[in-house]
Amino acid sequence: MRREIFRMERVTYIEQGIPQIEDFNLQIYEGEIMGLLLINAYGIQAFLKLLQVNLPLYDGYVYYGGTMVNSWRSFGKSHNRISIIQTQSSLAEGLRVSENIFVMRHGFRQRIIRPTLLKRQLEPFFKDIGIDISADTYVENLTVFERIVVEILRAVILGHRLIVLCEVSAMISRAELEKLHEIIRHYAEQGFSFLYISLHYEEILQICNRAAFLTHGRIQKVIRKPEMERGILKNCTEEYNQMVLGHLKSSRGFSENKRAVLSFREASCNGLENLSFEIIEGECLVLQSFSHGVFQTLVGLLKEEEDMTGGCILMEGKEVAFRNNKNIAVLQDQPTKTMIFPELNNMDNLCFGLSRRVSRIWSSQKIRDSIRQEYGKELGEDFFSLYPDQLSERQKCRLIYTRILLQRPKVVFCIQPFKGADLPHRMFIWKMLTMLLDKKIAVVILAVNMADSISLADRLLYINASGVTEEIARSAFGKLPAIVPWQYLYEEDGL
Amino acid sequence: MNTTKQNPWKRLIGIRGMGAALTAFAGFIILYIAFGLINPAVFSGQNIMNLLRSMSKYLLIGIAQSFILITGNIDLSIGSMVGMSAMISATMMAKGFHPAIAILVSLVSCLAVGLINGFLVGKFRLPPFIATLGTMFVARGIAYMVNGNRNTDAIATGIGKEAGDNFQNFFYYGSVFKIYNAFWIALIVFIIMFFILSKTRTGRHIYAIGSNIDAAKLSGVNIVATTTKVYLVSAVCSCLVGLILCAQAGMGNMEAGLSYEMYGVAAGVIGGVSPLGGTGLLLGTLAGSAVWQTLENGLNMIGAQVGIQRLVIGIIVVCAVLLDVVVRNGQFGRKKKS
Repeated sequence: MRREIFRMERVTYIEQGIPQIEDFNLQIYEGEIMGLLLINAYGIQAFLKLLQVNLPLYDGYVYYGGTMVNSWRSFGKSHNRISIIQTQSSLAEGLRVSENIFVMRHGFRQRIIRPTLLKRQLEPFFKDIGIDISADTYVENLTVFERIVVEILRAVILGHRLIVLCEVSAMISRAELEKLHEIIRHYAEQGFSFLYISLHYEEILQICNRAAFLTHGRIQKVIRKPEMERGILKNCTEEYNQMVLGHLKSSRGFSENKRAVLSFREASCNGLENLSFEIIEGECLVLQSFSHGVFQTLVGLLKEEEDMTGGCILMEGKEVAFRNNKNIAVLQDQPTKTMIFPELNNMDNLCFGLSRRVSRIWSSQKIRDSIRQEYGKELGEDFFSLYPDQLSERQKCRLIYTRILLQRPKVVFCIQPFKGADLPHRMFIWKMLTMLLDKKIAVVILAVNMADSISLADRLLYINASGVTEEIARSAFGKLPAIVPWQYLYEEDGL
Repeated sequence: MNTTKQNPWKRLIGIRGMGAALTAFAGFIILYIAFGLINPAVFSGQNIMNLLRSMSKYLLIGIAQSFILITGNIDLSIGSMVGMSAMISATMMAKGFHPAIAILVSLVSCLAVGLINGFLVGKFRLPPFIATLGTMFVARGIAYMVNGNRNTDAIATGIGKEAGDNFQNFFYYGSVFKIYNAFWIALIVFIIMFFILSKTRTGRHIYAIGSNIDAAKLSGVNIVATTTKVYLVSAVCSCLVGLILCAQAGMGNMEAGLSYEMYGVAAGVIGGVSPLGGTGLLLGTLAGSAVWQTLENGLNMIGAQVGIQRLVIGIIVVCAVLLDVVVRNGQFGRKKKS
């Protein structure tokens, strides 16, 4: 009989009077890779909190390692020995890998740290999983993939029997993800359990033994490996499917014969050489990087943190600077957190796009009134005097995309637009991006992981350190690996 | 969302920082009345004039530091720039240079320090605390060196009594409509800076940098230029305060402006300017400097010791910042709309 590692039984947890998770049941066995698909991400933060800390429950029981650690009757606010690996690193910067793994733990009793000894102790672990990371590396110098591996290793060495991986695919490339899956399987075979949280079913299909579907703070369904098939999610994603299918079948007026609005000609910067590609008016182009370093360089270039060392950028045939170009807009990942000015009201937030074209917007009440009039019906009259922290995520998202619309750029670069978004939110982002495309604004999606990007893409470019390695037109999307979300639509329908 | 229009009062209160500014104004009025009830001389016309005149220094310094704080930075060199401005102008006038030339040289010197601060913080991304700590010592060093490590003689010895009096009257002792010129200078600067901050693109860029520097950069804000501009504003205000101090004393004092940068922080944060950046109104700074000066003036008038004055002011500053942090953490925040 398999040994149970973790169980949540009928758990209801309430925060500030609002139920975060309700009647929540989840069981994880020893050596199992359990998938948790976020159909709707509501309650996931509370769930992650409850995994680590035994907070007061409204109802239910929590068991870890066969012992009841929390219940509605009593709680001790004690911590469970569970590791959670997510976007935010839990490693201490300024310290080496070996120090993070061995020194930063309870029970480390050596007064004097002996780096060579720590290094020697760590080497077999890396050898075991076939990864070459120096124990002396400072953690801030690790790539994201290496950081995730070090966090897993730390959990293993600390003896945490359950390791939670939260949306790791949004941070690493496909090749790195495959390697990570190997490491997970390796440790699962040794008896470690994993909870693999993802927004994409295709990913869960690849790695998990069982999968649970989370929606509105409840586990809706748990399925075993033999039951895992794509059709099982049909009810949940039907609306999105129809939306994407409709979009793919309809011609948006995009034609490859149109002229290029923006061209990169042999652009080079820190670790990236000879990047050449063209973006056509109203086109959705996806740039996928297989290397996190190249992705970071591209992000640095977009964020104006990196300068081009060679090549040029042409806009409608004329050489232009990327920096401060009003015809180019950049949307960072998780824009509702990164692109908002929380201390400015919504009107000011909105006007930032237009101010690049109409500088007197700040002193002209007339222009602001006309914006109020034009967008008031859509956004609501009192929207303009509110502040972003008084808006829902969806309203914030609309605010940002409307800001871009007001700026009326020719090209919008979006860095991982679907990152961290659950299904309803992804649908909303998808609609917002479609709105930009409909206005003939070219959208360039920069991704390490495809997420929902191919549901919109007209072309896909693979990029590595030496530039574009492969161009895939929409007609060939059906040949993409099955792990890519939405690939099946192209495969089945021959779109 | 409903489509009803908000009434203007609610809209005014809804402006970020307005609540804190109005609270500071209310605090100022309460303090003023309280001190007046203890000692009725506080209500006298002469005292009000003196209060306004003394307040002008804190208002100018407060404006300088508020601009910097709103961008999420700090300027520790303000006090030293004040000293440098006072010493350069006084030394030159004591040596017979025309006051206009002395003022110009002081202004250029302060602008140079402001420019260096702006470049160090904006272009080279040095932590503002360290960058301005360095220029604080440099500017104070210049203030010491400019007259050979001693205070200057009276400015009238160089430019003559009449010119000296004119200079002193223009910046400090003279009055228009029974209000001292020092306050008029501060008020004019306040109005200009208020306009810049609330009605111009630069003003919005200043708030945007303090609110979210990455988003500001991606929205086309020139971070280096805007950061430099705020440090230049700080330099101009500091220079003016230096000239006021020089006019007040009729000479240059090497220690002029000592700790003024902290008075500026105090005036700003009491009035609701957030030391974390992005929030604050100059109206609040006006109220903050009024609170500060009323406390100093009132505690003086009721015979409180200097130690008590500092203690009370210190507590108020800590409470103001604490309130800002609590509000930012959302403990008093309004509920999010679904």
